Amino acid sequence: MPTIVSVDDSTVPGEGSSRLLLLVSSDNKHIVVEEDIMSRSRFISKQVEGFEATSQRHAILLPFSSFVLNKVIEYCSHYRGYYLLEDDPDAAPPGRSPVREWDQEFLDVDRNMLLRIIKAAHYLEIKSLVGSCARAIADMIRGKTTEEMREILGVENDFTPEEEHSPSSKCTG
Amino acid sequence: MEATDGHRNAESPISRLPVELLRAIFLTARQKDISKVMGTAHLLHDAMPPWVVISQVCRHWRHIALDTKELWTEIPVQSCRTMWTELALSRSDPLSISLCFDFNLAEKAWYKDAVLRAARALPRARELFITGGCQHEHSFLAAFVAALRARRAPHLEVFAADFFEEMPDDMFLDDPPDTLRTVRLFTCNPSAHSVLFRAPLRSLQLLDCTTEIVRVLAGCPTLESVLLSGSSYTEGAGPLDYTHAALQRLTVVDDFESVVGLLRLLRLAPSVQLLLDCYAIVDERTIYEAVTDVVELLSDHVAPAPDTGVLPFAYLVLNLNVFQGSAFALYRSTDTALGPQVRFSFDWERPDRRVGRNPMLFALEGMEAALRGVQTLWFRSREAHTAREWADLSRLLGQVTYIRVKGNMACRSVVTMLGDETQATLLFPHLEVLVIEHTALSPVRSVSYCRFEERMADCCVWSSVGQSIRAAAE
Repeated sequence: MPTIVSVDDSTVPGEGSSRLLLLVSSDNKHIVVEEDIMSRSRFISKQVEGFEATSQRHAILLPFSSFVLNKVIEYCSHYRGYYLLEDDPDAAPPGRSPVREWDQEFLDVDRNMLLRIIKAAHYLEIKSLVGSCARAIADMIRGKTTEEMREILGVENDFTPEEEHSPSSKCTG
Repeated sequence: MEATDGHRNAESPISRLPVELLRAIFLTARQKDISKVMGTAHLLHDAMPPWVVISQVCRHWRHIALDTKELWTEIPVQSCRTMWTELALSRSDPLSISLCFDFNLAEKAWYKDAVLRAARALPRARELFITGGCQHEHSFLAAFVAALRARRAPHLEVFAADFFEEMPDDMFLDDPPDTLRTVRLFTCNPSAHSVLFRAPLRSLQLLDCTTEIVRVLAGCPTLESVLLSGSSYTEGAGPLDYTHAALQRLTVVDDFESVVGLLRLLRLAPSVQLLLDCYAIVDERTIYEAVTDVVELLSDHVAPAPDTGVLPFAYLVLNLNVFQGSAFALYRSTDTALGPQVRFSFDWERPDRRVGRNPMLFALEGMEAALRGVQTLWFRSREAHTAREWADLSRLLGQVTYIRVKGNMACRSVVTMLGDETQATLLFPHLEVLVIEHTALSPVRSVSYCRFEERMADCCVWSSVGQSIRAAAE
């Protein structure tokens, strides 16, 4: 569960056409962002609904660093106003989704950063970003041997020799 | 030691992802493979499906893989892994599955048994792929069709077959599954009356089939996407008014006369996206006449968009021998109703006698302006080409966005020159699509570059070579 703390009005800039949210990263950086931008996150949307019920302004504490949070905000800003099938399966009109080539460039980061982003996207319930990250990671391992997958993703072989060399392992995974 | 490795794995960033995320990654790795399948060859002959490899990385991954039924739903009935087939059937139960059969192996008794055992799962089949014929195994074919009829595959959505020449029209009896939406046939010859071609079919691909397509269309107004190549257009039904059908996209890859013949038989709505790829324009016809013919023909048979008056082309590719009046046609292309949708293709197989194999001589003939309109390179050379010749070609045709290759020598040459990303970018910086057709050439596995991979999904790539390029690129 996220931690929600009350904040002063002065912390959050005044309301415009799109309300502002205060997101607090695990390294205690305060980031103000328009609610519209983050509406792609079901997690944030649910939090905002909770705020409306109490008519209080809150900050939302998030369990990942400002570096990761800024990447997620960059993604949400890029697709602001767009319907993405994964996030709006019922609302997406045909032809509205932009070409997702941008995602490939956006996710051209090192392995650990990619894993942090997918984890954050999962936490924030941004399905489209989870999907793009999953595609990027899948691209890294597709067509690779078992050994290459271990090396690429930093995983050790923890099978016993018997498990690894048994016919059933070879045949059936 | 294993305990230590297990502890390290628990600390590794990938292993600390929630299980549902790892599962999503594994499923994504599988999905991409499946979506590219035209036939079944790579599934049947790959040593190990990728999701099996994934399950051998570590215990944690294996546990997730074995616990994810969706991973095991793509079931090639393989020549050397019948035990795997059985396990995949059981692990995927009760989900929908994709079954892939290779009838080329039907001469082997154990394979027949494996196929007929797997056929018991047809009630769960969402996709059915069959490759190969069984000309000498009529009893096997009869047994398979009997199994299909007995179980009926009531959830079947995709049926694809290649080289299945003896496909019976009534393989689903008179009652094909209502769920069938996609049919892809390559070198199969069911009649237009086959139960495969019935509403509510949405997508149809006929490649090198003798099926009378106009009759098929007449009986199937629900089709939204049709791709034809080397099929039979002129026989059978007369002109067909297809303006009220659901068709959204018609792709025809064929010789010029066949494309024209088909268009004469159809009247299409302006909303239809037409992708025509015409090759082998008859020698006695000048290119300008050919273009004019197409425009006039389409004006008669395809309604222009009411707001713009433009014919509904996604693109029209005319594969040219550049010297046959093509310069004139290229200059005039912007004057026609086709406008910029026309793409011209340079046919490298038949260069004019005057220039032999040296493309730079085109420049000497003052053809540069014409060549600037060429977007497609149709590469069918029977000769190996030197790096110098490629450099010359690049200087003249560096703007091409689409290269299509056929033949072993052509493939070898293209693979050598485009197999390296840096070199390919230098030669053809705008290249988006590379289509390589049938070839038995094996060294193409050395290709490690394909930056237009996403768009490959939309192309007609039938060869194992195309797959290899994708696999290497990935």
